[in-house]
Amino acid sequence: MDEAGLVQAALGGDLDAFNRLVLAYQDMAFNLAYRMLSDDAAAEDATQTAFISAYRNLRSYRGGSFKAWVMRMVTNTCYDELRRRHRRPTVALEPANPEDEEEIESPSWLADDGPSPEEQIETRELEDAIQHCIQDLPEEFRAIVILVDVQGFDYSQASQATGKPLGTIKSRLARARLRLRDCLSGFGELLPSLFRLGREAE
Amino acid sequence: MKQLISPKDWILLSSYLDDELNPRQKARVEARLQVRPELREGLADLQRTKEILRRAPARPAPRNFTLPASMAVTRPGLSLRLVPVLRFSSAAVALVAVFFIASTMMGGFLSGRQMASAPADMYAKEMTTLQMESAPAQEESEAPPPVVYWGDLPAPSEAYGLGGAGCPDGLCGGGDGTGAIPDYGNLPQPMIIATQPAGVLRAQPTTAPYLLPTPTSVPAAEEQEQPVEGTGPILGVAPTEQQGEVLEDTHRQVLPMVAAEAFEPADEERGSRPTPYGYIGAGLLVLAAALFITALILRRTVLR
Repeated sequence: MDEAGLVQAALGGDLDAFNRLVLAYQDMAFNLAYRMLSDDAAAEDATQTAFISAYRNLRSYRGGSFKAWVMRMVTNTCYDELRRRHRRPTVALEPANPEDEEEIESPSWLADDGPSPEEQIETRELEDAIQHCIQDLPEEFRAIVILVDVQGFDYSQASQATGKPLGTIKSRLARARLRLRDCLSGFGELLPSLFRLGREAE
Repeated sequence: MKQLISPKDWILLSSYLDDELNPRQKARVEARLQVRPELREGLADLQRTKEILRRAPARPAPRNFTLPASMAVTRPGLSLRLVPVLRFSSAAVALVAVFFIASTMMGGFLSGRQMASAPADMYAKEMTTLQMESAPAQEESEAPPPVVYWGDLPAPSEAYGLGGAGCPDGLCGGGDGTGAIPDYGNLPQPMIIATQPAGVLRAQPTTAPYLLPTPTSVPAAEEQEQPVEGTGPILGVAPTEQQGEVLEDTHRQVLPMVAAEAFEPADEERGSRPTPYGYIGAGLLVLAAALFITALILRRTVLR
């Protein structure tokens, strides 16, 4: 059964048909959530929540790319999680011991947004460099660049998945790529020679 | 010196890289790439960035996210069906609220007019009461004034009114209304007869050439029933010692004015009095807004 048939069966209440669609897109959904949230557990929760929401609101699917529709559920769930983080920021460790008032050394307390020498050693892998730069992007740019450059969506699918018009997709993607180029160039020698970026154009 | 690439050119280069330009735009970009090396370098940077991102390792899902039957018990689309119901309810409640508010405004206007006319009504009632109370006095005051006959009591064919005969020179009384001083001729000593509704009374001759009037204001009924003797109320001129005093019926003239002022409410008091319809309308308006916001939030949630 093709995707359209599975969707029709799911609309008729066939849970197995919907679960087959879940299996087809769960890797993509989890990757999108992980790139957006940069946290495995949060990405897992967001993915599960998105699929539940997709099943419960399956009647709002109006045709078109089902993949883009499901990814829209994922991106919206991630936006909700990011907003929740902004409202209730959490600090894992106390910065100071209340008894002797001495600072407690902890990795989260010492973390720096910029690539420190220790981080440069730890982020030799391409994965970490990319994830670091994606996290530096504004949230409204992040989903678009992940969908287009990481997941391989075309502009119309990205537009459907984010609910933004094509013009917005084009401009945000170009600005996101420029920011990523600048960020990745900071890793310099950590990137494979093939991908070392120059800034001659500026 | 190298030229900077404008944001518009970056967008064109990015779209060109993804092959998202129409043929005309694509041809223009390719033509510019031939003559501007900075554009070529910028395009190469974007291409490398895209390649790096494309090579980002995919993370496999840590587990299956398939839904068990327990997660699928909720009726799909139920929330979506609630949206139009909430919208319709919001519109209906808003209409009712507008009706109540309009009624309040109209009612406030009408009640304002009623409140404004209420003191006038009370004033009119008060005036009626006072007029009814003073009616006998007015009748008495409109009764024919005492007539003075001189000498014996003939049946006078005409009277000269208001006791004008009390003054020998004819200046004290009203005369016959023409302004001419009646000729009384040689009259004997005056004899005062006060004409009352009860009839004509004979007055006793007095030695006083002039009769000093007593206050003419509303004599008591029993006083009027009695024959006037001596210095009774004849001419309506207060004695010298009583002149300037507040007369007995002063309250009958002043009280209506005081009552009218007392019953007139202040303007702000009249306009700011709340009504139950106003509260109901405001409450319904809040309810309509709450329903509308709920529908909005539900729709946004459902479409995610």
